Amino acid sequence: MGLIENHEVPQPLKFVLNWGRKYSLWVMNFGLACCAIEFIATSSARHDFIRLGVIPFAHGPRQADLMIVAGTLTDKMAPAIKRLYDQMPEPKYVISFGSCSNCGGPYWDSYSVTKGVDQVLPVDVYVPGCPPRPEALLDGIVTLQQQIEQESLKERYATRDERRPIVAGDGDPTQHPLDDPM
Amino acid sequence: MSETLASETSAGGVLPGAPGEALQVEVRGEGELQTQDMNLNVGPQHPATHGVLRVVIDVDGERIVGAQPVVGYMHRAFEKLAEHRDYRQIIALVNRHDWLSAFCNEVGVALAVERMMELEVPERAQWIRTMMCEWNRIMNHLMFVSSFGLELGAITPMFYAFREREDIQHLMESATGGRLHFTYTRVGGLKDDLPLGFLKASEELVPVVRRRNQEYRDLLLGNEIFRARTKGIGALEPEVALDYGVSGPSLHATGVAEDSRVTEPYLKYDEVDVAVPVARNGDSYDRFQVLLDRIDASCDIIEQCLANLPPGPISAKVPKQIKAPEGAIYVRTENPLGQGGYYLISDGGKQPYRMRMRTPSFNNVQMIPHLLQGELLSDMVAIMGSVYFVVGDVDR
Amino acid sequence: MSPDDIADLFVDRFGAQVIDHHDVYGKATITVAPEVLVDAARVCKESPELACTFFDFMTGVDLGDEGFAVLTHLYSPEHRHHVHLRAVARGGREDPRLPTLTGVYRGANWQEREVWDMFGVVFEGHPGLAPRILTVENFEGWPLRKDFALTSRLAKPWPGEPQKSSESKTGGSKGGDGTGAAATGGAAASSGAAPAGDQQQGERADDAQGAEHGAEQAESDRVAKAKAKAAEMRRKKQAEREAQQAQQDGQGQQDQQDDAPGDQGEEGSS
Repeated sequence: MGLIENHEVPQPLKFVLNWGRKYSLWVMNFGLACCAIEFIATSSARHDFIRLGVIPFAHGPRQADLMIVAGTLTDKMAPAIKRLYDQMPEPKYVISFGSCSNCGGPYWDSYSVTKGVDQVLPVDVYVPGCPPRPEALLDGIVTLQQQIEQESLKERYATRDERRPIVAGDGDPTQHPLDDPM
Repeated sequence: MSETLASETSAGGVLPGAPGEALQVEVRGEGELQTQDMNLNVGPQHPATHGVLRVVIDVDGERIVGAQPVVGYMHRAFEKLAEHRDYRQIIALVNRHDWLSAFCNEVGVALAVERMMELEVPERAQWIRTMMCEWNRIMNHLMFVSSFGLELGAITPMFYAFREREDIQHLMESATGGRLHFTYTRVGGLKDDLPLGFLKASEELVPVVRRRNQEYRDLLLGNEIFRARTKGIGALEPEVALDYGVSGPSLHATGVAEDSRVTEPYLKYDEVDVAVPVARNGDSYDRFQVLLDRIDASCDIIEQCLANLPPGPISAKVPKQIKAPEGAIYVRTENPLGQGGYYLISDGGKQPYRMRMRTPSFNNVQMIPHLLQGELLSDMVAIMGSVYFVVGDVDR
Repeated sequence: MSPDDIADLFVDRFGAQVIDHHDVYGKATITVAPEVLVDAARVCKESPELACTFFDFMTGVDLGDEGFAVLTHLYSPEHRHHVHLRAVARGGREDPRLPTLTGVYRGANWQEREVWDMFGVVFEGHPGLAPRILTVENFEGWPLRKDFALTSRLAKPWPGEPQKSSESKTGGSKGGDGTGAAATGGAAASSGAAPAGDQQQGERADDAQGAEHGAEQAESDRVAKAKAKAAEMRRKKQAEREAQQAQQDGQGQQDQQDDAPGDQGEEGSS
């Protein structure tokens, strides 16, 4: 949207827009491994993140605005996650859930694990744990919501290209080191 | 890679059904009625594939003519990492493969090393391990109760099953400290004794699980839509199942009662009555029914464990650095998903020379093309959801 | 049938082609020549005394200079006995080859693909070993071979070691001996917990340079520098430990040596 991208929205309107966005996050659940089970447990009756406005099971990346990467990202899966992230419309957020997606976790010396999803995507919130408790995910979501509350979309889009992933070597986020085997 | 290794298809892969069959896209009919099979990609990110499993299917209209699962999206190189870790670290790593029933994986490693070292594990530890394995079995099966229902469109069982899982996880957390990955076993016994109140809480939880299991039977097995979608779908013959090495509920549903708790008892399974529910037809309905029956059987075993639990130490005396003596051993355990095993080759050091993890899901997933052949696309989810597997188990 | 009876059956059928047989904790392990592997598997499956209809798993083992052995585990639900069929692949380490068992057992298909992916053993007659089943399709190298180095461990031996560079990521650190692991694991084909010596370090340096499979070339400089630093630290610790060992020779307490305070292991950091 040209208006929001180029102009700083005045505060009362920004408050309302941010409030709307932070309480209506649709999650594209990217449940990869064990952390996905805790993610599902968080969405279930006892912990329930739906009361925070976060709705799980978006029908696809194109209808989602939050991606929770839960589980180990392997090099084989990395092109897929990059492609799905690119399919999400802006503004989009990423929560890295669990230590495997934060930094490789217990598989830090494996030859097939990407040591952290932030090598491929820009991450907004990291939730540590192996697996993190559901309460930790709730805390992560609340942190993200606090971030969204404060943010200005103009700045976010302006710095979008600088939010590049931490990649060894040059970090062009649109190219992936591996050929896309799909 | 030399060209002689690649098969004859342009896709570079082969349908792993009968040997020699290739994944080819066929053109049928002539002239205006000419049709071409469509090559569909299910996954690796897909709500119904239980994780990152990718299935490349060839469909002729609605009928599946060929399927090829592509695995490896969760390959975390456990076997290589095991050669660089000592046994305590391996136990902490190995419970992340079948992540729905972590304790059962750990027990296999501990048993392998204990047998090689000829350690005498105290009685109390063995009974507690047995009980924890059975609680894990219930947790695992509850997850599949919820996911199978969800895939067929029944959303309610998911919340009910997770209600149970939360109760059991609360119980396990009070003893082990973890909700999902317990790391409770050590070589020689357990990490800690059970906390006060655990036994009472277990005794109170078992009848609750039983009662709610009956709810699942009524809700799902008695449901007309569920029956229509799963009866006769994905029938598996016992010879084929054994040929592929399928084990667990999928095998028991075909009528073969092969369960290593009964044939080669480990822990305290020789002192409890282990019921092995079987069914006749081997279709999706039977596999699900076996699942619910197994939950009941596990409740029985837990009650027996609670009744027989002796006092005593919970760990044998082991040296600080555990070194398995030279040699090789293969230990099988009945994991909830099927036959699990560890083939451990030790050179006398504190790290294994080779640790091969035999996982039930790897063999179960290999069977999927055989089941999907000729089925309708709408039955694909019912079949794949009923072949119980966990992707971490497949890829290790 | 007991493991000895099973071994006798094989020796009767195949005579000199049965190279070896053991009873491994109650399970018969029969090593046969690769030429008769398929026939031996067929005997296991079809003979009524054995009736091993359950295909359990197949694994490869890196034997060092001899090459690779492939072990197939078969089980009989009827008779409740196990057979481990083992064969050493022809062609040593350069070109290991074995006949395929997919004609006998359907379950062998994926298991052989995995052994090929991990070790590079080619199964002749297999319907399609490629694409690689577990690793990425364009992965280079055979991961489970002993000369395949884990480059993460070469760059930084153990997370939490204070001498490493500022980029040391501490992922899920577990207690226990890590630097001992870095010394013995990776390149060196010699087994056992031999402490890090200069020669091993040199070997590993060579192998790591040669076997830089699937790792970014840009990392090699940093890796080399980090390795040199790690080697120096290791040499220092080794000297310290030998001095300590000389002191404690009279006591003969293995536990004391093995267990450094704080669970840091033999070569724990200062």
